[in-house]
Formats: sequence, structure tokens, C-alpha cells
Amino acid sequence: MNEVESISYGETIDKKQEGKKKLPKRTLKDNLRQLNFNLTTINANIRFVFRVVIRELKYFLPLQDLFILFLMIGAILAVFLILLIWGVPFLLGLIPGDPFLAWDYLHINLIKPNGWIFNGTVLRWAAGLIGVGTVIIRLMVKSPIMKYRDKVNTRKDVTYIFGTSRPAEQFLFEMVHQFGYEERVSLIADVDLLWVRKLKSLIDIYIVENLKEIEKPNLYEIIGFKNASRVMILTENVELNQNILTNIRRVRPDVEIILLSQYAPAFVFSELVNDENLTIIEDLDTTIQGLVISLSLDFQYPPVVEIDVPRNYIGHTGETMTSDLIKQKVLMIKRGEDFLNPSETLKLGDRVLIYYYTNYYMKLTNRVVTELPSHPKTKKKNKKEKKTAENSIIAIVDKGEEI
Amino acid sequence: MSFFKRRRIRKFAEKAEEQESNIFVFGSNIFAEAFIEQIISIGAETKFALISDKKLAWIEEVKDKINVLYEEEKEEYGKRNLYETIGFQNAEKVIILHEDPIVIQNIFSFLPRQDLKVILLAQFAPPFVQYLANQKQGQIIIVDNLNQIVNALYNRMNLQLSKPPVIAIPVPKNLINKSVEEIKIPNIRVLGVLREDSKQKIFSVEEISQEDDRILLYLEKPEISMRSLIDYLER
Repeated sequence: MNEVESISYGETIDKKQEGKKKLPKRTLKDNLRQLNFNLTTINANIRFVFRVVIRELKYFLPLQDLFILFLMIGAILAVFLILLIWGVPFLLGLIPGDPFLAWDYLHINLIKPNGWIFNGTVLRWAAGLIGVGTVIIRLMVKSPIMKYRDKVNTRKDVTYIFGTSRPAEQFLFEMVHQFGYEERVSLIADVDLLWVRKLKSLIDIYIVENLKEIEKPNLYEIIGFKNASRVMILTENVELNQNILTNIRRVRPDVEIILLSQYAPAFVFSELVNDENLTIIEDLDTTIQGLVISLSLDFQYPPVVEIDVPRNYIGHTGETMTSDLIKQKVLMIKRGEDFLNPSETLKLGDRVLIYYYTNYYMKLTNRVVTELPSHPKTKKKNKKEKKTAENSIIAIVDKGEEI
Repeated sequence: MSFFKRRRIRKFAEKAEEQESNIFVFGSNIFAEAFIEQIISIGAETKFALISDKKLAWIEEVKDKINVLYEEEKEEYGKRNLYETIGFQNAEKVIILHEDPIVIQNIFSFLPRQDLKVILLAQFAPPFVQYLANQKQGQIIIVDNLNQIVNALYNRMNLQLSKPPVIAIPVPKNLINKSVEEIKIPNIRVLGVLREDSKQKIFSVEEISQEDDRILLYLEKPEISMRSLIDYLER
């Protein structure tokens, strides 16, 4: 993205002044409102991070692993104690002024065939402890697929994405870096690419080491896909897509599977295939339409999104929102079927069209909308109203009983 | 290049000149197939000439309707002779629908005329062509099919954030140095003016537009709106 400049509200070029910008002065009230929004952003981010940390802890500290951890600590303490018991004479030997005592101790007790190191009991203990340690480490270290399965299963409603094609890359980039929906997606990559590794710290990713694994049902049986809300098959290999589709259906006959028509296997177009949960995105048609339109029109898709009004701006205008948000501009307000100018006052339930210059700030704004979607005051009010209504009903019933 | 091959290419070039074909299409993949099918269905096949890298059944079927040249050797795409022999006499636009970035790069580099408009798909556009497209806007058009695909995938996610049907088009020539407020097209709303100098800026619709500006348009009913937009611009 190019270097950018956000235009604040009311910023238009006065024709008479020939390009001189007319900026309204920001008052203390404006700055406080902006600060309030920034604090809401921090609040939303803390909520998100807190949830992620809890989820990570749930994965890292299950009871079984905790037990193994305590066992390991116990073993280390035992080794330390044993060493201390045998080590004390050696340490004591260092304290007096006799410099040869330590050497004598080493010579006599450690290096000699009958000394400390070659003592049969110590050797047996050491071998035993090494064995226990190895077993514990082997228990702790899981294979990558098991790790992935355990981690991804701590999430709800996951969209699994297969493939590393350009549509997959762009889709994940937008989901993660532009809109902040990291928790909604998980990737099963067929190739270990740099962009995949870069995403690894943000979403759950499993990189298939051998492509033949994709053909076999084991991979799908292990992962299970129990929390899958949908599966997007986006590899560029039609044969691979066919294998993934068949195997996913084997483990989850009801889950929605999405394919791109340009990479869809021929059999899915057959009349014999009657799968209600199979969605084929007609990207071939839309591409051709775009190609035909491009013959007479040079058009681009600008970075514009439509979101709910952030809670802080209900009662303010869209222009006020533009003046507060960094590198974003409200282009239009949608109220039901009506389209309104940004100069209108925003209401609860409105949607705003935002042009964003950078991904980072867009992600922050969307985080406020997704993490803090409700409007507590109205909710509390509703709850209070419900409670008072319930109380009055109870009172009426009580009165009736009394009568 | 052998005598027979040269003769075959010349014959193709002569036919293209005779038919006044002004759009040359390179490729044979599914996009090329679907595009040619669409062109034939609207009866504009004489305007187009196809240069295919493979002999496929679908091309044999359309060969009677559209002027076709087979050039199966990849190396030929990297040599000037092919392009010089074709000549591109009446050509106005070249559509490249290859998937191989090297072939795309070669076609792009050896096109004999600088004024030709080149159209590519974003999915297959090599990075250097994407870079050039930013430099030469209007001359190199990258059809952003990736964006369309991603939007379609995104819509399946049922998320709170949605992607509205907004496009950016160059300011019509008759509106340069005027306000874009004058644009009145059914089912289309003008959202603002996008200007990219060293920095990106968005101005309101009252802004006096400049030559390289783009207008942001909201398409209320995308398909109908697009058609009425094209009609408006052609008028």
C-alpha cells in the first residue's frame, strides 16, 4: 500500500481558495472522544488476547501433561539430592587449605575403577533415571499432526482451508491481517511456504509433509473435523481436491464443502452427485464476466468494507467517525435499505462503508465491532425492563393467590 | 523459423487483418475456452484472433468461427520473429490468458507496439507485470479475478464484516476538471474521488476531478448497475 494521507471530516478543497484545505479545529471534546475510542480498541484487544492466552493454556496444560510435568520435576529433584549426598564430601574437601585433597578425592573416588563414577549402584540409578527421562520426554513430544489436532480442537466453528494457492493466500491474508478473524480459520497446507510459516504464530496450521497422506483417510480420521463449520478446498491440483473432498465426506458427511469451479473435479458436476452441502464457487464465470467488462471498462476493487457502527459513534455523525479513526474514511451510511451521507447522525443498527488505507487500523476498528458488538446500556435496559415485567407478573400472581 | 511455419503465421496475420480483428487472445486454458465461448455466443468472434499453445478439441470446434494460430513451441514465445511476423496490424488489445509466468513475460516484452492495451488475470500476473500495471495505468489492465474469488469465499463465511460492491473507475474524459456530482446513473451511487499522487487521498463528490483520478462507485444491483455504467460511459 502506498504512503497515505487521511482526510479528516469536513476536509474539502475550497474552489475559491484554490487547493487550500479547510480543516475544522479539533476541540478537547473531540480529543476525549478519540481517546475513548482508542481505549475501547485496547479493551477489545485485551479481550481477544485474553481469550487466546486461555486457549493456549488449555492446550499446553491439560491434566495429563501436568502430571507428567510434576513427575519430571520430582525426578530432577531426586537426581539433585543424590548428587548432593555424594557431592558434599567433594565440596568439603575443597574448603580446607590442602590443595591436593580435592585431587585425591577425584583420583580416589571418581576416576578409580572402584570409585564414585564406576560404582555399580550409581550406574544403575543413573541408567534408570535416564530411561525414565527418555520415556517422559517421548510422552511429552507429540507428532505435528497430533499437536495440530489437539490445538485446533480447542476452537469452535473453524473453517478449514486446504491448499496454498493464490486464492487461499489472499483469503487468509485478508482474514488474518486485514479483518482480524484469526480464530475462525485453520490451514492445512500442501507446501511449506514462507507466507505459511509467517501465519503459523497467528492461526493453527498443519503442513502435510508427504502429499500421499492427503490421498489416505488416516489424516482426516486423526483430525476429525468435528468442530468444522465448513471446509474450503483451494489447492490447484484437481486430483488432490478430489481426494480431499472424498475423505472429508467420509468423516463429516454433513459439513459444507466449498470448491472453486476452475479446480473442481469433473465428477462433482455429474448429475449423480447430489450433495446439498457442496458449494462450487463459479469463479470461472465471474472471471470471464470481469474479462469481458475489462474490454470496455478499466475498473478496480478499492479496499472498502461494510461494518456495524462501533458503539462509541452511535449518536455522532459519520464525518466525526472519520475524523477520529486513523487512516480510514466513512464513505456512506446504510440504514436498512436507505443510503445516507456521512454527515448524518449514526444510529444503533446502522452499517458504515469504510475505505481503509492500512490493514492494521482496519483490523483494530473491526476488532472493536466484533469483540464489543453489544451495546451494554440498551441490553441492561432491556434486562431491567424484563425484570420489572417479571416482578409485576409475580406480584399479580401473588395477589391472585392471596385473594 | 521454417518457411512453412512463417507462411502459416503470415496467413493467420492476413486473415486477422482482413477480418479487422483488433483483439488478440493468447492461451488455451479453461479461461481462454470460456472467454472464447462467451465471445462466440455474443457474435463478436471476428473481432478476435486466438494464438493457442496447444491443439485441443475445443479449439478445433471453434476454428471455423474464429481465426486460430497454433504455436506449441514455448521457445517461440521468447523470440521477436513470432510477433514481427504476426504484425498486430489492427490490434488494439491483447489478452494474455497463459498460466506460465515466463510465457506471459515473453509475450509482454516482445509485443511490437507500445500503444497496445494488455489485459491479464490477476491470478496469473507475474510480479513485474503487476508492478508495471501500477506505473502504466489504463494501458495494462489486470482483471482482479482473485478479488472476486476471495469475495465469494468471504461471503460464505457469514461474518459481520461484509464487502460491499464498490468499484473504482477512471474519471470519464468529459468530467475532467468538473465535479463528479454530475454523474447520474440508475442503481449507482458516487461515493467520492480517489486521487493518488505520492499519497492516496479521498475527496468528496463535490471535488473538481483531475485527469488521473478515479471515482468510487457503489453498485446497488451489481450486474444491472455495471451494464448501465458501461452504457453511460459509451454515451
